Amino acid sequence: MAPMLALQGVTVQFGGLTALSAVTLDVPEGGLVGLIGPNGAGKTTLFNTVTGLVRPAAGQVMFGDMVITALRPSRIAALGIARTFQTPRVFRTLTVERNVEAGLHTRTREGVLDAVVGSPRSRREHEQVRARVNELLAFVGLEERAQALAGSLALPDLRRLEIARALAAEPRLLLLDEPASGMDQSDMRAVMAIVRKIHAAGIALLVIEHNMQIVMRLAERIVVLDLGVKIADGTPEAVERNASVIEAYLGQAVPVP
Amino acid sequence: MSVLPQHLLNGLAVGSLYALLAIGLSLTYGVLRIIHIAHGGVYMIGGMLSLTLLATLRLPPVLALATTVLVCAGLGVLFERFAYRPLRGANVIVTLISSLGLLLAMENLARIVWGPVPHSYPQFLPLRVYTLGTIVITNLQILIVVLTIALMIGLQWVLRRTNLGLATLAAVQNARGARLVGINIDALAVAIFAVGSGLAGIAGVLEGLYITSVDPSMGAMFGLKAFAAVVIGGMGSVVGTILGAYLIGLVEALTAAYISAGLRDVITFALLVLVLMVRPSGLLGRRIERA
Amino acid sequence: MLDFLLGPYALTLLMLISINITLAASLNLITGYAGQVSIGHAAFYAIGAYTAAILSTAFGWSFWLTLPAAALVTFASGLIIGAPSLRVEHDFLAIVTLGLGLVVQGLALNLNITGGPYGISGIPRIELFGHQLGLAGYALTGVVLAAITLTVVRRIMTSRPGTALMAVREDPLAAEVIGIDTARYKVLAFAIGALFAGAAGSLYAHYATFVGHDSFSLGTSIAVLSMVVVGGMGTQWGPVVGAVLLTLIPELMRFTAAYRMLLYGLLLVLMMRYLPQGLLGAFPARRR
Repeated sequence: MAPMLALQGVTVQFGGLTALSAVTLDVPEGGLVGLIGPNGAGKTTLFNTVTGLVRPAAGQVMFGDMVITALRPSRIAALGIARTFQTPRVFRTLTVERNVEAGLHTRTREGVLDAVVGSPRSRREHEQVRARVNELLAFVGLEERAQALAGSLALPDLRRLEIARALAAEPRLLLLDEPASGMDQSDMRAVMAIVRKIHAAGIALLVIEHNMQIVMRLAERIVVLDLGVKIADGTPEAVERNASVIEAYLGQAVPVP
Repeated sequence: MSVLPQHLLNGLAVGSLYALLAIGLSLTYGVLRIIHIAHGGVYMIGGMLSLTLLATLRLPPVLALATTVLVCAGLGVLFERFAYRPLRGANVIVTLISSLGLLLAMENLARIVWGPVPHSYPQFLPLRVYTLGTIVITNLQILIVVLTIALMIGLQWVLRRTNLGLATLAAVQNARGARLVGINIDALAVAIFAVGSGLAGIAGVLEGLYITSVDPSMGAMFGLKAFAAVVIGGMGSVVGTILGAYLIGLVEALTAAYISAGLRDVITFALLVLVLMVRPSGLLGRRIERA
Repeated sequence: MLDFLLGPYALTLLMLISINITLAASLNLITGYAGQVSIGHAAFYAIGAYTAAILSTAFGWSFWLTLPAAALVTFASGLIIGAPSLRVEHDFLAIVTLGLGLVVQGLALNLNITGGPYGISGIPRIELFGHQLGLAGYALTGVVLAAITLTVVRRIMTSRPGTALMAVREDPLAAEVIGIDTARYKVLAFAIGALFAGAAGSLYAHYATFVGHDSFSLGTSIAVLSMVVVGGMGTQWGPVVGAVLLTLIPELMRFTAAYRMLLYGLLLVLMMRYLPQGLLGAFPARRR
């Protein structure tokens, strides 16, 4: 069976710098893949390439049987790829509720004319949106903060909100960029529980994570990048024993065993 | 006498005046991200004030020029301190509205003090006209171009060779980084406004001599076009700014000569829109990192 | 009935305030809600007014036909003038829209179809059921137009397109990544804002019976932007408060024009220093 997401020989360059070098990678339908590597390995660049924020110099990105390399980010999102950012990018002066509502954009159709005349579609969708927003906020445990301004949330809640907003689009693939970084143990556990629930719901995940312990326990498969090159790809056990992975990390700091 | 070289020469003179104004705008935007629309008002005050100093108080030209430069520099520092500094870090629209308010205030204050009508400007330089083949050059045009180029070379020297200048360039590159390495942005802001506004004062005097009259509404459009020069040349690039200024001067001279004097401003701003559509960061500009 | 309550001066003011509310509310959609700074809103006002002037004097159209026609024409020009917002960096958009405003005014002054420096005069007054509208009728029409504009803006902003517009203002990249076509919504904001400015232009043309280039200067664009900012960008009632105050304050100051504008300028400076979010400011002046 063809994988859901497939990068084929993707190379990304910034000026003279090669951020990704002929990276080939796939994520199966409903899979949970971890993406690790030292700082500057190109993990976030890979996310940016998949979501259309960065154009690769060579290679292509396939989603199902569609080439999505040249598409605008909003088109890619509409096809079913959602993501979060390492530093959450929420709409700060809007309420938590409205942020999730924005995430429903691709799942609703109401246009300006609908809104102005208050069409049946407009009324129907407003109902649906309200129900769906509550459902999503409950899913990530933010229902208490629905009316708060997003800019007033602390980091763990920002992460939850960003995940809820991403899930609102009903993605088939969700890319999470360090969902647990900068959080304490209990918040980390809570976020990981959410990630497992998303996985259980059948949504494929590609997760960048710095904390080796977490990623080893979480992922079914792990891909390792170093200086823009894929140096390992396999089960957590296999990757842990891989000599070049150990070397890449020893060149940096020793990871948490 | 519609020969091309003549129009180019006229464009060069006007372009020099734009350059004198544009430098201040380029630095205030480059370092502080302020769209200092009121700069045109400072230039107008330079023209009007020197008129009073020369015609009413009968000061010697050198003294009048020096006083004008000092007052304009002081005005710029005043604006920085009381209008812009409290707004640092705020939305661009907020500083922009404040700047427009300053411009309105200056323009109308000038209308109250000097009356709304144009005044003829004392020509303290005896006019000399040189002919080179079919081209007519005045000593004033030579003065404007040479003085501007000298000032620009001086400014480049300050920017590249002094601590203050290097700090300025560093801040243009990366405002946050400059603050981190201990550059005092407040002191830098004062210096930039003083120098930029002083140059605007000089431009006001030269414009008075060149056009032979000054009036309270001479600043707004002139300042806008100088800003257009900055944007066309590329924000954060001093050379680009000067290039943009001369480009506008030339385009205006050619439009007035070959198309229609009435369309001069239209063509200038159409050029601005066009350049930005093709090159969003101007001809020589790089994308500016946002602080 | 309005004639009995208000004298001709008050009715004229009411009419002007209504037009300014329409302009400010429509600019608020572009600048306040969608975050696209525009100092060229007078261009749309001008295009609407000239469209009405030309259609009524050259083709004998009545206000009831020129109004939708002007709105349609400005909607289309909004699509075109909004295009730079896709390319140009945020700060420069202010200068580009300002430039476009000056270009439109300059064209009005130089083209034949707009009457050049003489403008277009002899625009018919509004007729309703065979009667020419009096001052009260104009004031009422203005109030209705302002009310429609405010209602439409409010309805958009409490729905899906409104959420998308604010998302674009807050973080265009994040908006794009969740599937919002940011280009489409930026241009849409310009086009809808332009539509209402155009409608206001048509009303103004039939009220003044004359249009000239100097009614649509940079000063007009600045005044409208000031109304939005002083009232509170991105708020529902901010443009109303701003339009009422900034129309009335200069009117009520019994000085010469120069003193009035001097104070107006200083007021803007002080306002930005002490109340940058505007009187009804809901969203804080963002640090960037």
